[in-house]
This record gives sequence, structure tokens and C-alpha cells, in this order.
Amino acid sequence: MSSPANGDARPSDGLPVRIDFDDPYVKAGKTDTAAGVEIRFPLFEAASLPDVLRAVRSRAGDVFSRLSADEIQESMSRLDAYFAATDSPSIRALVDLVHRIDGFSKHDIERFGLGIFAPLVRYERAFAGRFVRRSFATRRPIETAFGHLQRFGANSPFVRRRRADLLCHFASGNVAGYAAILTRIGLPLESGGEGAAQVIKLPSTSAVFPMVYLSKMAELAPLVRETMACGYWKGGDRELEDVLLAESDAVNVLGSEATVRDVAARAGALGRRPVILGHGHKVGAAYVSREFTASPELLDRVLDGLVRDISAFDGAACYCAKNIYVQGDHRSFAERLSSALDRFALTVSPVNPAMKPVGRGLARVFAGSVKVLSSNDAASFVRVADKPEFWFPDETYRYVQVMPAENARAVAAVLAPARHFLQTVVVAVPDGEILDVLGLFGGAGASNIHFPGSAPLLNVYEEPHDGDFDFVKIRYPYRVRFAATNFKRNADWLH
Amino acid sequence: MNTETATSTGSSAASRTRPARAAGVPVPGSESRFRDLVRACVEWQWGRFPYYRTLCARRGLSLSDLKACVADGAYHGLPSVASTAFKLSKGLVEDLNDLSGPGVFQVSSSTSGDPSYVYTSAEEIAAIRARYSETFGFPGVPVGLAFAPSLRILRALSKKARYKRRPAALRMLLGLEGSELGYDETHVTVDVDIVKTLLNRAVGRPACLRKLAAAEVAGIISSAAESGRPISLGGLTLLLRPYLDEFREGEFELGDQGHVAFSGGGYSGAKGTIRGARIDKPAFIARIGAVFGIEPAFWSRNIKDIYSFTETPAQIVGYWDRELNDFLFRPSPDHRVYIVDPETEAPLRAGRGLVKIVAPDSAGRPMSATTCVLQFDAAEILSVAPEGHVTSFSHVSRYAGIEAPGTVGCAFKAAEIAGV
Repeated sequence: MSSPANGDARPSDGLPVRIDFDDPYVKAGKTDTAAGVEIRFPLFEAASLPDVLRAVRSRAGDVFSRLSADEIQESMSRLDAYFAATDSPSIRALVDLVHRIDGFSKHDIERFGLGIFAPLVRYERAFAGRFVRRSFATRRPIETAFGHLQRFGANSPFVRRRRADLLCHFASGNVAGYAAILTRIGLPLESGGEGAAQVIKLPSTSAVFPMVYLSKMAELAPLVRETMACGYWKGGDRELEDVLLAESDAVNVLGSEATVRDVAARAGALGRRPVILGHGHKVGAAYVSREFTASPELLDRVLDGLVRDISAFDGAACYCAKNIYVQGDHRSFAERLSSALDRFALTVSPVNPAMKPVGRGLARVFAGSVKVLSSNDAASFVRVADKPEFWFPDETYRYVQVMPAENARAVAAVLAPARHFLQTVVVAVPDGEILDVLGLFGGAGASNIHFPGSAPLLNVYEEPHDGDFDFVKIRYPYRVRFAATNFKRNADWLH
Repeated sequence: MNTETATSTGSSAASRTRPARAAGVPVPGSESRFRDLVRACVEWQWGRFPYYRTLCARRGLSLSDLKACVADGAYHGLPSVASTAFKLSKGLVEDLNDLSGPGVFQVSSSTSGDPSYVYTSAEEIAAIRARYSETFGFPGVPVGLAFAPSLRILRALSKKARYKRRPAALRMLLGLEGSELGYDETHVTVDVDIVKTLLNRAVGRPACLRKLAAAEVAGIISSAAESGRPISLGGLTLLLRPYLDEFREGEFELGDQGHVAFSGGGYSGAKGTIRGARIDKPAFIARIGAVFGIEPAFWSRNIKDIYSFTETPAQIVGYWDRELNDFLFRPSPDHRVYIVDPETEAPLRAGRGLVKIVAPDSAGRPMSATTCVLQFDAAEILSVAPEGHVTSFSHVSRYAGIEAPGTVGCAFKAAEIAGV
């Protein structure tokens, strides 16, 4: 980005009139208007793509041969620190910009979008990659900086390391902040590690966060920025995508099941078979044990956390809790959860205006139902079921189903048949059961076992994304799966 | 009752007899008969569906309020059930359908991957089918060419759609069965290739479908034309369009002997599992006219669309209007259409709004809460009766305000989940 200041600010709201986002390789552009701001994005074109790929690969080769992994990580830490400083005026302005243009609530952008940066800043650099390596060697949970990591399944002895010179990403636009995780996949973590040139497809021409992130990277980590080309093209453009897929050593796809399947099939048919990192639809879950429903104080803390996990980005994120299993009086829990969700939407994180039609539609559907609790302004919906099941939500929204749970093992049995859709399970269990639920829910297919209120906060260095460490898998396409907790004891979040 | 029994009620026994009018459908102009049916349906619905009572209670309405609306002919005052509530994914099938008696689930074509299930009595199924024979037909036209899957396919799909141990019938099946009642001779363009299907089945593969070649379609049309028999081309727009691309302009000269009757929408480019490009209606009709030689002067009486959906028994016929450049729909006496404000659901007297339909079960005993339904389609009012119901409307399209634009990424859609 030249900078938001490259256009005059509007006196009404201080937003710039026009923003130009630049890319060192992608010269064509497309201008769209969002929230009254003209935004020019880099636009990939099929004709120039071969030249772009040649240039970014060549430059990435130079950069990775000149910079050590330590130097790269050092510059990325500066970038992380910039985005972690949520009190700074520039970050306040960024939050406002993303809020106005993408519609996400300021709370979600700040706490969840930017919330991933502070742990990265604090993270001991020497730990990066260490736990994954150790986890390959044992099936038992190993202690990480923030929690535990466990491997599931046996690796194939035939898996071989391979080069990954070019990694392309089909990014999604349902959350802010993920660009920080995305771009790390191609960077070398440790001394002697290899880096990959990266091509990033923007999900839309209103997804401002990734471009702002890359613009700031150009200032704080300029050489690293030159290892990436980023811009927009219309998804499914065969002329362009076939060239890109044929050239790529690894393809990271975040999107619908259909998109993941389509890209994987097309990439597979091109002969060279890149490694596919497929991140399709996920349906989050939560398990609240009796110890946390019986204590009013603990219950309040659980509800306070859960409303954040449910409401984050209006329930449109892969990690958002949808199926809530409760030991104890699940109906009473559902009523309290519904009230808490309403209060949260009213006072902390309002529904994105673009999502309101979904709420209105659901309100009409459930207007006669006594099984679905909803607020007067359709900000959230809580279904109550009397038998545990794995519920596939029919809409992307602040919309969950609360069910009774016998115990964690029984919940894991309900989750296991839906393993394809599992990712994050929020848990509130006694300290002594945290490792047990890692084993149970990890075995069922979940990959991230988080404490309430932290579902969106993924630590890329010690937690898998959908069971995988992508930065390892692009060069070592292993066959196992991982699950991790992001806490060791309840005191980590109940302080 | 199983599906086969249900669907054969009208199709086999009565296949050679064109019904004059479905049983229970009010005689045009019979306002009191309509009012009595609506009252009976509302009372029945109130008694059978706690969902509907709750819906009314949340709006502060009692049964006597509803009866007063009916007595005044103010049907727009009846609370409507959202058509999307019948979708399987909403989990309200047993709240909105009374499964205590024998019946058949009508099932939508599932364009969204999430079909609606509407439980219906055998009598009402027969009435809907019979109504289709009227709406799809043209007086004096003996040959029908349906750009649609065959009865064999639709019956097989219906059989698969069984739910809660109840038989099911795709609404499209009722349409085709009804349509066949109205013609002496009916052809369809998509059927099962039996030999290939048997071979496929032997190795565990799915059925093999066969589409009529353009030459075969041309043969049917030419044969009708040469024998001087008027022909009706109908069915699904998305299945007709590929043929239009294969034929040249002036390929046929049907003139006023050529008729067209669409149903099921599909103009957005999607219908069931069929996918295609969005259809520009005026260009599409012009192409039909040019290919089949149906002069524009005939379009307003020879080309029609039937607006209907699974969650209502109503079928509304609209003929092409060259001034509007779209179909002009005129509701029938057996239902009332209101175009309502998308937010407040108040009936509008002009402009665009959502479609709300009051259509009573023909026997006054609905097995689903479908007497008054709100459909998330937008339409433009052309004329309104003094009582507030719409007497003509046009420019029907999917209402854009029902879903969030561009939900992408890890967001999920029922269609995709259902497909996994």
C-alpha cells in the first residue's frame, strides 16, 4: 500500500478517499469501492503470470540465500510487534478501516484478528518447529510452551522430503488476521531451513487486511516481502490457475469443500502433483463438564468465553463453536447462553451488517419454534436438542445447538463420525482431564483443544491447522495428524 | 401408502382422461367457498401445529383474530410461515407437518442441496397434479415435449427421498404427471439409458442418463408440425437452452401452432443439480421465437411460465408480455397473492416486495402448515384488488436480502455438507 494517506481523508469519518495497494510483481490493478473508499488491488492476469512466477521465484531464491532463518524470523518479529501494539494510533486506524470495509466488529478484529500477534511476539524463537519434530517421535502428548501436542496415526516410512520452491495460497476472507499465519508457511523456521516463493490469491477485492499486512511487511521486512506476490483473480479462472497449479510445489486452499476438491483435482491432473494443504469447511464444538456448570462463578466464565468463540466473525470462521455439549442441565445452560450472546452483540461485538439478512431469515424460520432461542433483534440463535448429535449448521451465523453430554468419551464418540468437519473443540474440564480430552477429541479428529474464549487464537508454531503443520508438510508430506491444547491448566485462563 | 401408489392415483387411472377441474378447487369467483376453505384450514392448522400457534402468539394473535381476518377477507393479516422453514436442514419437519395420518411428502428439487419436505394428503396431491394438467396445458394442443427428466427418473428420485418412513414425491414429478394428463402424446428429453445403467450397476456405478440428441428433438417437433398438430414445448429452461444453441434461427416454423410452458424457474442458472449460465429472459424468449418460428404476436398467448413452489399448492400462470419484457402473472381464484414489505410483511400496493401466498388445502385439512406462506422471491406489483391482494405481478426474482453476500472461506453451506 502506498498508504491510506495517499488519498485525502474524508472529513466525515477520517477514512481515506482512495487506497492504492501495490505489489512488487503484479502490476495490473482493479479498483473497487467499499464503504465509500476507492481501493485499488493488484490483479493477476494470465498473460503476465509466467513472468510474475519467474520473477518471484528468482528473487525468493536470492533472498533466502542471503538471509539466514534467524534474520528472517527477526524481521517477522518486528512485523508481529507492530500489529500486536493494538493501542497504537496506526493500529487503531487499521482496525477502523477493516471494520468499515469488511464489516467485522472492531472487537473481533482487535481481539481475534490481531490477537494472534502478541503470542507470536512473546514466543521463544528457538521453540519454533521443535515440538513438531519431537511429536513425530512419540504418540504420547508432549509439553509445549502453552499446552500439549499429540500425534495420531503412524507415519509412512515411504514419505520423502521434497523441495518446495513455489507455494501458492487460495486465501479465504471470512476472518481478519490470518494472512500472518498464511505467509509464514513458506518461510524457513530454523537454521538451514528452506524458503519458498509464495503466490497469494486474495479472496476478494475488499479484503484489506492481507494487503495492509503485506504493505507493512514491505516496510519492516522488505526482503521477505519480495519473496511473495499477492493479488486478486476471479476464482476458477482456468487459464490462470492451471499455469499456477502446474508450477506450484505446494498449494494451500482455504475455502468451501467444493473449492478444495476442485483445486486438488485439477492440481492432481497436471502431472506434477503438488502437495495440497486443504482447509475446507469445519464445524466447531464445545464440551462443558459438570464441574463448570455446577459452579455459578465458573459457569459465568465459561459463558463469557463461549460467547466470544461463537460470535467471532459472526460464526463464519472454521473455529467457531457450533455444537455445545453440556453435562448437567443443558436447557438452563442454553437459556443463559442465549442471554449472554444477546448481551455480547448489544454491548461488545455487534453483528456485521452484511450478515444481518441471515439473522432475519433465521428469525422468520424459527418464529414459531420453541426449540430455538433467539434474541429480539436476531443477533443469535441457540437450538436446544435433548439428545447429543453432531449438528451441521444450515447457516453461517451466531447460531449453535446445545445438547446434553454424558461425559467426554461419549461426546468424542458423537464427534468421531464427523471427523472430516472437526477442527476446534472448546473445553471446560477439570485440570486432571485436560490431557484426557486431548486424547479423546484428538482421536475423534479434532486438532485444536482450546479453553473458552480462545477458539480463534491459534499459535502456528505449536498447534496444527486442521491437523497439520503446513510449514512442515509442504516439504515433508507426512501421513499423520496432530492435535494440541492451548493451555496446560485452568489457571492459565481462570486467573 | 407408498410413492408408487400415490403417484399412480392420477397418472395411470386417469391418464387418458383430462380432468375438468381438480376436486376441491373453488369455482372462479366463489369468494365464499374460498373464505370457507381458508377458515377451515386456519382452524385446522391452529389445532394441529403448536409451531403456528407460537408464531401467532408472538405476534399477539389468537385464533379469533385469525378468524376475524378471514371473515373480513383480510387474508394478508394471517401470519405466514417462511417457505425456508420446511427445508430439511432447519429441523422443523415434524413441527410443520402433521405425520399422524397417511400422506406423501412433497419434496422440492433441492437447488440449494437442502430440499423442503411438505407432507400432503393423497387427495391434495391429486388436486395439485390435476391443477398442473391445466396450467401446463394449452387448449387444443395434443403434443407435449418436456425438457425434463422422465417419470422413471423422477419416480426413482422420489423413492430415494423417503423420509421418516413416509413416501415422497418430487414436486417436479407431480408437474410432469399433471402435464402428461393434458396431452395425448408426451415426450421427455432426459431418460435412463437402461442398458448402460445395468452395466454400470454391475460394477457399482451410478445410473447412466441419456439426453435426446438435437436431431431427435427436431424430429419430434417436425413430425408434429407436418401432421398439423400443435405442440407445446415445456419444462425446465436450463434443459431447453442447450438445444436452442444447437438449432439455427428459422429451424422451425411453428407459428401459432407452437406453444411454450416453463415451470420451476432456473433463470438464475441453477435448478436441482442442473447448473448453467444465468438466463436473460428477454433474450431467451426472443431466441425461442426465432428458432421455433413463433412470431412475437403469439408470445402473449403461446408462451407462459408457471410460478409455483413446493410449499404452496398454488400455481400461478404468467404469459409473456412484450411491453414488460417478462411474464405477466395473474393469480387464480383458488389462492391470494400479496406482495409484502420485506421487513414488516405489510402488504404493498405498488413496487417490489416479497411474495406471500394464501392457498388453502383443497379439502380444508392441510397436513402441513402451508395455508399462508412467505416465499423469498421478489416480485413487482402491476395491479392490486381493493381488498389488497395482487391481481397481476411480474419480474419475479430471488430476493437478494436473504443471504449474506460472498460468504467464503471456512463458511459452510448446507449444499456442500449434503454433498460430502
